Amino acid sequence: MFSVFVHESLATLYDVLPIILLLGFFQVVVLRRPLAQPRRLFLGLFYVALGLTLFRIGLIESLIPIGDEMARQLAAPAVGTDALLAWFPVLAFAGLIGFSATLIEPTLIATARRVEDLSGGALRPLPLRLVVSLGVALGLLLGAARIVYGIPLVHLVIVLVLLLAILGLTAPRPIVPLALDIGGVATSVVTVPLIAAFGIAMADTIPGRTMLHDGFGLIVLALLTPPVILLAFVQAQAGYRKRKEQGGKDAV
Amino acid sequence: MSRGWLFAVNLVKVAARQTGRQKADVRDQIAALAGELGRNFRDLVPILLVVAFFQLLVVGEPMDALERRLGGAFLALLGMTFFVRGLSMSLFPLGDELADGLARRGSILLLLAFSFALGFGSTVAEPALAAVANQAADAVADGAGEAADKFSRLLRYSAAAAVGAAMALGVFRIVKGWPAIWLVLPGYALAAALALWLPDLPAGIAFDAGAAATSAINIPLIIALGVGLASLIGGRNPLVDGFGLVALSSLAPMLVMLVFLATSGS
Repeated sequence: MFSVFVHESLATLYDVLPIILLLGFFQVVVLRRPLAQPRRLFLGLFYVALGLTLFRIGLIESLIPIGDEMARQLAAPAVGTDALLAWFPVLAFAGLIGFSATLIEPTLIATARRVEDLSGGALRPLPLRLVVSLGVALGLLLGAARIVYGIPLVHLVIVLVLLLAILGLTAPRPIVPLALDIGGVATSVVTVPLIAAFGIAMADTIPGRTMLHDGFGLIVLALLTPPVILLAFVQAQAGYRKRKEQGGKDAV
Repeated sequence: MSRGWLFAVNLVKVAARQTGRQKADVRDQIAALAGELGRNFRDLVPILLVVAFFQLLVVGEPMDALERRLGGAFLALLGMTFFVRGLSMSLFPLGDELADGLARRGSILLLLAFSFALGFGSTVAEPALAAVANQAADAVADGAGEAADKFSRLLRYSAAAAVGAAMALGVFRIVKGWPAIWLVLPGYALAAALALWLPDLPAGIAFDAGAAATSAINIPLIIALGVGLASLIGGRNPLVDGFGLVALSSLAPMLVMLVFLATSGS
């Protein structure tokens, strides 16, 4: 365990070095400003390095093997059939784990708070997080079904991008940039390692699927569905409001 | 496990002692961290319930190496608490201050260079991208080893360079006031066309690496840069013009990785 800690610390330092050097360069050489609150800054950097090291060990020891083993255990009994019912546990797990992992993504929590401030309270954080988590869940459901039935990834990507284009070009303009970004925000440190391992193990368990061609793709589908769901939701809400207003006028 | 854990605790104590001039300062830090750790634990409960439900009721057997899995989950949570707090003390304020200072200077070239550096540096440090890159390397190089390490590093650095380029393009877009969707849709169309045209390509690796490239470190920096710039430039709305950078930053590595896989002939 201790050697793992040393190894992961060194790897983390190596990975964090570029950003520290680059930001330091711009601060000291380009702007020629002294560091504000250097003590706090260095303590923060130490926390980043320590936190990333512990997080990476946690990924190797927990998140990645759990995703891998759950996929194998749930997919193995269904191998050999095409019946949707046999595959139901794997698909349900993919959806539910996507929903619960996205709800706690630190990136999504922070972004939802920022959006509330920027929209003057119009977009509240929890509904936004719930809609986005639903989007990730649907994306993973779709992605897991794709691995089971061997549907080419690019076909699903094309369908989702077409939906995104139709909804994005007709939606109220202020929401579109946020919707485009929200998929990337939703697939972050908790979701990604868990579902990447899950997809690869599924492809490895099911005969006729290869890790290389079928194991990847869950993350991109989880990235593309939340914008589609969010835009569809916004459109439905706008349509409902319009109809209500019109209905009110007719009644008068 | 206990040795590494004790070592970590001592490191925190030493660092806190050296940097905190007053004891109250240290106490505040620890209280804030403990509060965040508690909240993160509470948030983890739904995931634990989902895994436990499927493991016990569907699979019907206890989980292999349960203590290791629980210990690992605790370390991941503890690590997340530390790095999220550390980022908000160090890289985030530094990035904000730099973006503000450079934007006020008015040199667009300098601003673009900074955007590239910020995108590149923060993506190299992303732990989620590293996890996906390692798995992709295992699948491509057929098992871990030197070739897999090299592939993983190459994948991460080219994804990082692509994020940097996308950030520079996205910042240019904000300055010009173009709608984000006019860059995002053609980009996805191009990626889909490449994947359709070369069906033998393991396109899933490229798509997933791009999707994993934007994560916990670079997204807050990217959004702060976009929103900050949009608020500084007259006639821009932070919500409308400030967002859109993250979408470009996931898309660019997908395109670069597709080209990389196509030319490396794997």
